[in-house]
Amino acid sequence: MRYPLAFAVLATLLTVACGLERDIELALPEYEPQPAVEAYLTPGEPFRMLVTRTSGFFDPLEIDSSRFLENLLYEDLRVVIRYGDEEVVLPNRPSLDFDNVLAYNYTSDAVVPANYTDSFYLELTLPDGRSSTAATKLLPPVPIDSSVVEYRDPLDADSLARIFTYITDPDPDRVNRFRRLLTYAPVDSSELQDFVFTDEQSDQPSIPVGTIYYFSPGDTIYIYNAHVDEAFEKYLFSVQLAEQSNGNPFAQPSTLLSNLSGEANATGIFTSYAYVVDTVIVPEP
Amino acid sequence: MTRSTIARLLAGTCLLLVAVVGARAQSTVRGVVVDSLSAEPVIGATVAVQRGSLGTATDLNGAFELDVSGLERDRVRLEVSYVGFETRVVPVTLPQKGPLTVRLAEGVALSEVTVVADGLRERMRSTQMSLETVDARQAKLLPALLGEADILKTITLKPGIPSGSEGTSGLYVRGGGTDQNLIRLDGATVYNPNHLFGFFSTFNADAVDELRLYKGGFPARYGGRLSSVIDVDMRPGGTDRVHGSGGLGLISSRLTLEGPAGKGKRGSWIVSGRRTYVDLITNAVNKAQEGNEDFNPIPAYNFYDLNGRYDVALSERDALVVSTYFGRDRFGFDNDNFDFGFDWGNAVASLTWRRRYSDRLFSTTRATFSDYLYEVRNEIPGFSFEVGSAIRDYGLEHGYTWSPSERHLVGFGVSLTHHRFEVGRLQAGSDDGEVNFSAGNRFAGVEFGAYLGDEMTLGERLRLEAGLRLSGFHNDGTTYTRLEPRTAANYRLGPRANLKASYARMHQYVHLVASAGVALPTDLWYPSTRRVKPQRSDQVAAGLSYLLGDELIASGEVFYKALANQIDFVDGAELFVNDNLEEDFDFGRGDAYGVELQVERTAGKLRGWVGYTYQRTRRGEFPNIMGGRYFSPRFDRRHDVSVVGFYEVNPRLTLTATWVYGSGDLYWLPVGRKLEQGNAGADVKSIIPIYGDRNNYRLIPFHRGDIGAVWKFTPKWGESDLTFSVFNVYDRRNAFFVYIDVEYRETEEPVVFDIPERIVPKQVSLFPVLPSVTWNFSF
Repeated sequence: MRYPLAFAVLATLLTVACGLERDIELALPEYEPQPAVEAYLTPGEPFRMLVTRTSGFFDPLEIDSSRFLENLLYEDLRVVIRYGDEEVVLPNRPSLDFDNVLAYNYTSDAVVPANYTDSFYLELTLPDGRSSTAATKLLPPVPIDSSVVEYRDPLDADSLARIFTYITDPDPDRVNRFRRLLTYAPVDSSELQDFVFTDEQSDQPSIPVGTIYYFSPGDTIYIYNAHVDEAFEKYLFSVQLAEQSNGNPFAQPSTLLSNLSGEANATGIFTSYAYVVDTVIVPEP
Repeated sequence: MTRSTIARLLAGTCLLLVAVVGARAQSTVRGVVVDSLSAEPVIGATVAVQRGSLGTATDLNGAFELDVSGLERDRVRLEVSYVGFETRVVPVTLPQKGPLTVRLAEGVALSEVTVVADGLRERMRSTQMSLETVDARQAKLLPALLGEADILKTITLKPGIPSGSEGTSGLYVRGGGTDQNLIRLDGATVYNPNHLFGFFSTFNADAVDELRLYKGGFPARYGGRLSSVIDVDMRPGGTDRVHGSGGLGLISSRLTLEGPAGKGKRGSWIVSGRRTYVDLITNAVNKAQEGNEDFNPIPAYNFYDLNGRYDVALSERDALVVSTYFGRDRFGFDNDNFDFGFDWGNAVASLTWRRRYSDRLFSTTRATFSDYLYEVRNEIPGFSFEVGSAIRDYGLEHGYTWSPSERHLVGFGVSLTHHRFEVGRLQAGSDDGEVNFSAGNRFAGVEFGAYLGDEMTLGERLRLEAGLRLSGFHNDGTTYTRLEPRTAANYRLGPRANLKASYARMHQYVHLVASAGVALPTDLWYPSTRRVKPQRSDQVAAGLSYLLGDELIASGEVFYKALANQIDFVDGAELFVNDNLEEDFDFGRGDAYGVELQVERTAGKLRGWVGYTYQRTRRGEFPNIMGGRYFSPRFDRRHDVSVVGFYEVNPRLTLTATWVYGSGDLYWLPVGRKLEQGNAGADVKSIIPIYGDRNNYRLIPFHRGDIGAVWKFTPKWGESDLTFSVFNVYDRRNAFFVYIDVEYRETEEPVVFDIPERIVPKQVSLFPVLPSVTWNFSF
């Protein structure tokens, strides 16, 4: 061995350092379950939302229990969305979006109008009469102008590719926010990118958003561009912070920044979510 | 405690003062101790009646005052001593006709194991309360993490100065935050005193002499931070000959060279360096494993410090001191796909000119430079980014110490500091320029101060210090000016007991914007602006000191501190790169109170102290945090105990031990969980933690015992010792942090979302029992 002393020191340290992580008992403060709302208004799509029940962190998981869905989903809420003179009641009627494998438990046949510019109001009422409310406005979808694949070295067969996506700033006079999602598959794949950016980050009308050199020929990439509001940006960031800070002593946790308020103590988000998707199959260099 | 309560306490203090004013004069010896070479005041020199029990120590101006009325003599012999100087015996005829000037020459040092600390009698009689001192010799004797003697960590063994999480250097003085400590190295501000995320401090024990920490009762000459002032003195070089010293430790090596300078040895110089070499080991390991696909290369990390000081006597009356420090932490990791680097560190310098106009009037003029920065950079094929923050100061201060009579010691002066801030500077882009963006803010501000203070002797029992500081800050059209009254009193209850009280108002104009967790090098400094008001604190303290013999002193202090304009982040704040950082600030109040007790033995074969602190602290009235309700910050440590012992077996062998206990730190854990289905294209997340009130869980109590031994031997070429240290001797697994692990079901087929099977809380500890040995030498 070329460096016996170095290995001896490291081996000694590793030997004495074992067992520095262990299971413990934790007694957390009392927690009262809350309604958790995921309500997204997409023009042309039905009014629908998912309302789940939160639970104490150490409550039994009961994934395989027959009561799992019963415990997870609220069934006895009164859910109403109002806009202008319209009132849309969303009954407890489960439905499934097969294309995106998204489930909803409060749905209506009414469709979100495409060109309504005033506010939509959500009211959610518990059986005991307590309610929570939220409001949002529609934002138009912003198309992806183009997606460009570039190889680091087009002459090298082993070279990796990156993808640039271009969108046009829809309104340079105000701040527009976009959620970028990039994934290998729309259903069973983790996101490769998931963040919100604004048009302030570019001084050109055409906003480029890219990846690093990462992709290989034949890769199929789904690129989502959603036009979102500030409430969604805050909510998404707080969800990501909450998820990432558990187990990281250097991170700052966050409560969920919900735009719902009221005595029902509901959390979650009620917002506009107009998105487009571009599918890119990475060509040979 | 409310403002009216503070007012009542202040009023009570004033009544006490009025009641005792006018007592008779007594027989005292007053004077100043200066370096015979540089005319610089010798701080902390012991002045004692030869073969008697009376004694004191010189203050920051080298001045002393010793009450000898109890001896009923016409003549006394004073023994004046200080480490590194020849002891002088000075006869004084009573009553003394004028102040005495004692010039000490460098010479034979006292035994290294002598624990100087505070002179007992000085502690009894000084108006200064809430002051803790530790010198480098103490730090070198005590057991330390991986053998790295650390003077900043040693001070946390004193009451009222709990440190942060295990192994870190963060100081939470009397309920304050880590940013509320003014840390000065020879007068220049050190913005980040930490290496390696706080496991070690920037102060190389070979290069520094003494550290003084003021927890309260701040003299009027200090300002700019709410909770403490930490003055660190660099060690002047020896003047007899060129010589060196150093050490080889488990993770670092040190080398110091020093010697006389100038004609007639009218000056001295010292340079000292320290570097860790863990990266040399890890690089060697990485190289040895080249080609092994199962081996993950170890990132390279090192830190280093360079200290330098030059002292010269320009004349009989003038002395000049130049001090410099430069230190960096360097973390790097690279492979074929990326090149990551993370550097941070301080650069400070000061130029101090001391002038002695007479035995009653001194001036100090100082120019300072401070710079702290961090840079994170990463290069991946085709793309790179660099993010960083920095603060740079240029400062000037000029002050006088004037003793117009035997009853007054007056200090007055002015200071001016220009700050330049770079906040969240980001530069990122692709190599071809297709993507290019930047962010960040730059600020400049001017901080200024003027002070006047008088330490008065009002009879034989009472000493009173009263001062006023005018401080201010100007930034981008906004100017703040604030008055900061200070007062302290010492009332002698009897020959063995003194009662002290103090009040101080402080303002802070620059703020460390940090997350609530561990102090990080990426925490950034931010100026007061139109929206970010100066932080303010009002602290009252009272204490009693009781001499339990010639070697033992017991002391206790109670304090209450009210904090205003405290800064915290709202939930969901973007800390890293945010051009609108102020939007994520929230402003509130806070308070802290507690009691600190200590019994210390400063002489004999067995020396040391036992300290206990009970403290409560809280923050609240932040409109956007927990609805304005009060909460305990993470460092709200209710009970804190420290036991420190030095036992001199013989002149060659000293045994040391420390034991510390503290209530567990608070931690913010999730209370609930939710499923997050998300949107088209997003991953379904089966468990998203839901956080409730902040800092809702207290970790297990912290305790740890360390032992050490210093064995001296004398080789032919100089002196040497081996310092043995066992950190965490009984292998206590203290909690560094806890987290909740979710174990998911393993499936062969792709699933829409991961299925959780088990939720397991886990505790992570940092340090098991860690033995170390350091070889120190001098030649």
